[in-house]
Parts: sequence; C-alpha cells; structure tokens
Amino acid sequence: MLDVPPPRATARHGVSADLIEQLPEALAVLGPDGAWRRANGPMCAALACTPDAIGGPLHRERLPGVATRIDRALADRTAIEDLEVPETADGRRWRLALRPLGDGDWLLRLHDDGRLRALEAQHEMLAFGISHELRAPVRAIEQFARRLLQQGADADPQVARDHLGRIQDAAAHAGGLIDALLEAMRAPRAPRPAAPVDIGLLVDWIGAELQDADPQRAAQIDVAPDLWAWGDEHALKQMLGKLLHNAWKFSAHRDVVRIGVTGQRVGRRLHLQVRDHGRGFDMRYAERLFVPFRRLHSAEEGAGHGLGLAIAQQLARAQGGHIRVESAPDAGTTFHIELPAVPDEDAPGP
Amino acid sequence: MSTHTILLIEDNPDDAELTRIAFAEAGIDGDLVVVGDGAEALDYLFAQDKYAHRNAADLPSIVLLDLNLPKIDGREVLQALRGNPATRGLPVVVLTTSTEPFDVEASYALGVNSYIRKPVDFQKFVEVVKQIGLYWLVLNHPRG
Repeated sequence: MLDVPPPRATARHGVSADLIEQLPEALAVLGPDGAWRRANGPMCAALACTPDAIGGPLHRERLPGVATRIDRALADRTAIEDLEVPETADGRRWRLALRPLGDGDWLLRLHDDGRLRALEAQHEMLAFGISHELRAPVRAIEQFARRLLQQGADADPQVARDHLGRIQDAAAHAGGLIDALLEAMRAPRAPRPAAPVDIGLLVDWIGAELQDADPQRAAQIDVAPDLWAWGDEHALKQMLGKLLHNAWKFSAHRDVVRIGVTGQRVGRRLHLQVRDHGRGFDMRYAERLFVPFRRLHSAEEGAGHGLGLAIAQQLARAQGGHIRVESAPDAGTTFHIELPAVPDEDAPGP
Repeated sequence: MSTHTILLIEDNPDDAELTRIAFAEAGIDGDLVVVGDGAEALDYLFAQDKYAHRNAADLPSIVLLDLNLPKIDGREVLQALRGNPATRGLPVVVLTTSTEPFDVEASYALGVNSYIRKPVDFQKFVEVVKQIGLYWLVLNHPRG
C-alpha cells in the first residue's frame, strides 16, 4: 500500500507533480472535475498515451470499463480503495485506487494485478511441470530399465529393444521438457526496448529452420510483404516460431505443409494471421489451447511438451499484444495475433 | 461373454504399456482397452462417434482413469459419467502420480471409488479391486 503524504501549503500541483514523477507506480493527479492534470511516466506507459495528451477526462477514453465509477466517486467526493479494472485489449489487468489529495485534487493509482497473477500462474505451471510432466518420463525410464535388469540374459531381444527405445525416447522427452520449462519461465520477462521488426524476415527465417530440421517434408510458407511490428525481435521470433512449429507439426499428415502469414495495420496495432491446413481442432477445446500442459492431441498425433502455445501467448502479452485462435477439425487452424504497430514517425521504408 | 473389459484412459503410451505388461504377466482374466484422451473415453463409454458400432449397454467392469488428459480431462470425464444414469454406477479408479497433491475430497464427491499410484502395479490393482468388491474381475472364473 502506498501512502502519499498530502501536500500542504505549497504551490498548487507543485509537490504532487514532482512527487509522482519519482514514484515507480502508475499515478495521475485529477482535478475535481475529472480533468487529468498530470500523469507520471508509468501511467503514460500503462495507458499508452503521451504526456502532452493529458488534459481532459482521459479515464473516459482509456479506462472505459471503470470511467462511470470514477466520475461518480469524484462527484460524491468518496475515495475508491481498490477497484478491479476489466482486462484490457492487451491483456493487462489493473487494480485502481482513487484518493483525495487534500487540495481538491485526486490521486489515481493503477497497479498491475496481472503481473502478480502471471507469477503465481507460472509458479503453478512449474510445480505441475516437475511433479507430473517430468515425473512421467522418469517413471518410464525407471520401470523399463528395471524390467530389463530383471530379465537379464533371458530377455526377448525384440522386447529388450522396445524397452531400450522407450528409455531413450523418455530421456529425450525429459530433456526437451526441461528446456521448455526454462523457456516458459523466461517468457514473461520485461521485454527489451522496442524497435521496428520485419515479420516477413522472421517468417522466412523460421521457415528455413523448420525445413532444415525436417528436410524430407515438402512445404510452402507464404508471407505477405511489408508487415512491420513494434517490439523485441528476439521475442517475436520466438513467438512466431512456436506458432509456425505448431502449424508444421499438425500438418504432418498432409502431402505438403502449407502455411500462410497475412496481416493488416489497424490504427496503432498490427493484426497478423498465421493460417495452416493441418488437423485443426474442435473450438469447444479452444480455451485449453494456451494453458500449459493442457493438450488437444495425443502423443501419436504430434503432441509435444504442452508448453509451446502457452509460451507464445506469454511472449505476445509481454510485447503488449495477444493471440487468439480459430479452428475447425481437418480444415486447419488460424492464429490471430495482435501486436503494437510501428509508431508513425518511426515507420520504416522509403 | 464372460470376459471382463478394463477400460484404461491414459494418454501416456509408456504408462499404458506398463499397465498392459503388469496385467498380462499376472494373467488377468479380462481385456484391457486403452483410449488416449477424455473425449475418446466418453465416445467409447456412450458408444458414439468413432464407437457408434458398440453396444452402449456393454460397459467395462472397471475404469482406470488418469486425471490429466488431452481435450477433456479426467475430472470432466468423471462428471460426465456420474451425470448419466447408465454410467453412474461404473467403478472408477483414479491413477495418480506420487508427488501430485490430489484433492481427495473433491474427487470422492465426484464418485471416485479408489486410487492407484502410477505405475499401475498388478498387486495394487488386486487390492483396489477387492476393496471395491469386484473379486470376480481378478479371480479366474471359467469362461462360459
């Protein structure tokens, strides 16, 4: 809980203005009429606005889900202790407080509930990953090795080979799972500074990697020209890599893997579509898709560690975007990715 | 038909194979049917979709259920079975892993008959079968 000392006999807005700039939390000072007088850096970042846009009742535009509640509190002159803000388009979950500053102005504070929840969810994922997912291959190795030892020289060579194969696969699976868990732990970290990212380049690059790892497979990956996102290239490549790998894997039963990447700029956002013609799935199960270890397919159908799409979603959110999915069995799957677009003044190209 | 069917709902092929081996070596009198996800399990039990040719009245003697399954998970399978008069009485044994904290009360509320830790050991299975009163399943009845 943050206690802001009430400004005393100082010039109006003087102390609070300096003070809020020093604090790491997202803070703003509102006049009695609801007009925003000042917002600090974290608040401007949270609401994706520039300091010079401050002035009017910004909450009506940027916090529409709770604007009426804020206006009522201002009119009634009652504080808001703790209010949940509906999840924003970029997946952030804020909690809001509004308190009088003593000079007629109000201090509005946002804190990111999602960050704590994301940490908790990650902790749970890790515990489940170790206790259940990692235990499975360890159990298989132990049991099949024990059987081999018991049978000794009497073992049927074919059975022995089966067991050794299972031990090898289980060990490889465990190794891959450890890598995936480490990757998932790192995914929600604060991203590096944003820069223009060429989506076409990343798709070509990932396509070459997929083809390299699976050279026998005929594949055609098409990407529309001139798609630019605003973010961390490394994280975006990782995220697109998960989606394309997924599309590739679940197209394994087709003669040719066909993946198309298209996109449009919509205002300040870039909308991307990654479309495959693979197995697809029943939309009844869509909400499981981005949850760690909640698979939609069995191992035979190509299921992996059960973390790929959960990692992709975390990466997208860490970039201020999100992913949703549309699919039908046997018709294929389309991932819809929304990301920040390149701000106008930084637009690349001639 | 006096051969008993044991339905194993398990997505991990190694665990399914270990269970199969344990039962085969113990000479269990019954067929082990393995399905790999919750949706397929319900299709099998309610004789629908891929299993539409099955007689829905021909239910397994016992169901071994892993809780973490693709598509529809074990808890939802349990709810579906308990919500249908035809399958409400079906004995269900949940398969757990040793370190997983398992919500025993919640699962008993859903009508789980017992638990077995993985890997499924035939002796443990016999104990559970006795405990829930299905002696005939593991005793070597002559087939008629």
